[in-house]
Amino acid sequence: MSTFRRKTSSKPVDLLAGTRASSFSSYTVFTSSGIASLDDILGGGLPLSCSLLVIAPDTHSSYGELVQKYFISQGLVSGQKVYVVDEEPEQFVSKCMWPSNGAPSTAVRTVEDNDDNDETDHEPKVTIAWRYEHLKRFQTTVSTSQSSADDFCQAFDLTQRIPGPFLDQATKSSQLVLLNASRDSKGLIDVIAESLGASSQDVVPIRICIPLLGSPGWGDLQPKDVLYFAYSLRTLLRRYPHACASVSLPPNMSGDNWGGRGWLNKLSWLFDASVTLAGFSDPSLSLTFPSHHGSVRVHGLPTPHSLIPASDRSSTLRGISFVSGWTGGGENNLAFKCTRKRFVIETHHLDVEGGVGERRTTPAGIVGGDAEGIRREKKSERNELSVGVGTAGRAAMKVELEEEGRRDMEAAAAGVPERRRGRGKKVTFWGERAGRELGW
Amino acid sequence: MSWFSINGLVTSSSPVVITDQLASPADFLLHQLLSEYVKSSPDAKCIIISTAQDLVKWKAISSRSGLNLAQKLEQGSIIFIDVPNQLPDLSLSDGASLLPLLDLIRSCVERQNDAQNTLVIFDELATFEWIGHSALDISRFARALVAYCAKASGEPHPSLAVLQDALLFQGAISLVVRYHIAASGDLDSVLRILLQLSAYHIEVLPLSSGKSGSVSGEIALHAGVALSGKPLRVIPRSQALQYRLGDYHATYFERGTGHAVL
Repeated sequence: MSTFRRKTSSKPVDLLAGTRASSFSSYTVFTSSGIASLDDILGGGLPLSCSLLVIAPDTHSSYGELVQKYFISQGLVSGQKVYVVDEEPEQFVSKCMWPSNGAPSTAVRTVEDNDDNDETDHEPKVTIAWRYEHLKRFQTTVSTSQSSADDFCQAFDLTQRIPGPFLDQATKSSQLVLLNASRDSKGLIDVIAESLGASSQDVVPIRICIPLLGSPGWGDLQPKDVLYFAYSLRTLLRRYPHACASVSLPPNMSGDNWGGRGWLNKLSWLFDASVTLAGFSDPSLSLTFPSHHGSVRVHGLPTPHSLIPASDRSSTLRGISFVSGWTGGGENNLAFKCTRKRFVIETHHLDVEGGVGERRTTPAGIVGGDAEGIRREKKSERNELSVGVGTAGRAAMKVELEEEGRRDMEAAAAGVPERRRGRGKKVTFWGERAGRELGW
Repeated sequence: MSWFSINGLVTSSSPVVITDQLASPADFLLHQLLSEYVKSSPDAKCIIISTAQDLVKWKAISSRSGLNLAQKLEQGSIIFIDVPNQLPDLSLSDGASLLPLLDLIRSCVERQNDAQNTLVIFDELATFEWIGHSALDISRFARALVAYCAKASGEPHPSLAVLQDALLFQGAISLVVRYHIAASGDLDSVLRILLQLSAYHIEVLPLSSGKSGSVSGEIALHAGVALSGKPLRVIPRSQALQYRLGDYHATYFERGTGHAVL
């Protein structure tokens, strides 16, 4: 006798638009967040009846809102019902992205892929390292589906906007429901609940998107109000399990300085999935990892029907090998980059040779550090021979950013932006340099 | 292979408090406790009070460990109280007290008055504080709940003066309370009071070195203030038992004897 029981009242899952079932649990139904790499981190997508919190603490960027726009666009493309709660929802939705015309996936991928993967070119036959021909190719991210027939996750193009007619039609047919954020956040939950209750006979999944929870239009919210809202949202999603939600916080509310000790932890307890997209604020980080714009930290993952999140088993990006009793390695570090056409999350590795930008056969160059600070230090300590610890406590091996004239000219000719000219860098040791100066 | 069972620790005199953190949630302990308790005796009764998870998750996980929760719910041997849905007014933070919840729990316990033993699992007390209830209100609720369970079991609680009224109840009520810790290292007032009232404190900790594929976290077991007599088992943090989560249960092993190492 099997103790395994299906939910008797649910419809067959392939009927729900834009969703797919989990291979590990028959109860769980995933829907895409619009970003294939984020879906992979979540374990296949955002499960219905779960909520996602995107924390973007950068005050000068809006990565959280970007993720919400993907969420909305994916819902509209898949034919699902989308609720947007914002101060100016029409304006927000009009800026959402759209798949590019023609062949969406292939057109987007050609430009960006050449950025970093110089050595992993797409040769059909590996002639030199033929012993490695059968191994999987090194990949830093999961690819968006190539075929447009797969409607789970679309390949969106950030340069395209939602066509106005589509938007009007969606609003008229109430596929898209725009709600204004008001001071009465408790009343808002009731409004959504009523609307969900009215449409509970439909088989269409419902997405609730709140791009900026706690922005000024919501009134003067206290931390406990935000937590209470999260609690009621979770209750709502449990009551109507064909809905899911995605919420983003304004940057000023994304830290312990606003919410008190343990603020992010409390929020992450009340949301099923919680992810932080933190841009590189330290200039040395952005110089060391020039191809990424920030790091991704995962605080919580949805476990709607099991003890472990599906992502532990199926995520290629996170890379936890979950075969029972296996190696026990940790997770990969994750970083995101936002190019002109897409937003993607990749694994984050130190490059070959401990931080140099590209593989070469010429001698290693200088690794960029705190460029300005180092230059200043260099000038003042030019005549010192000591190889001790520098004033800022830096290690004995001083590094500096040195631009070779030849590369500079080449780069200028090619019109590459200033920051990228540091590609060919050299590492020289302080002792060597001093020696050269003194004529040794 | 080590074992860890809190079934033996759950006694009728004082509650067991389980604290967990975001990186190491203690859901698996509650599910394990439920399935062990129900399997241990055929007429075991249980009341689950949940603020966080809905019934679907409880059903999904218990079905995999061989417990037919839906059937037990129908029979009435397990009662599930879904706090957000059944008591929506409780969620209003200003001025609302937790008294209705206490009354509901009392009525459910009395409904099972022919039981020998009842297990009460209270999933998650910290949420009330986060959504706005005052710490004073929550600590009063905690004391009242513990006192009620002690009184109904007819056993004197070591740190509460309980009037020995006429016994409502033949069996013993065992209480297990779960508490989320938001800021590690912080002992807030509600938790302090809970620990004073408890016989055992089970701490579910994440690994201090971050996430790992083979170890999901650690468990430490401390004797609480209100424990009368010698503790059955104590696991200090330095020798914490490590566990690894599977689909529906966890496997336990001593530090350094995980599958990856041996």
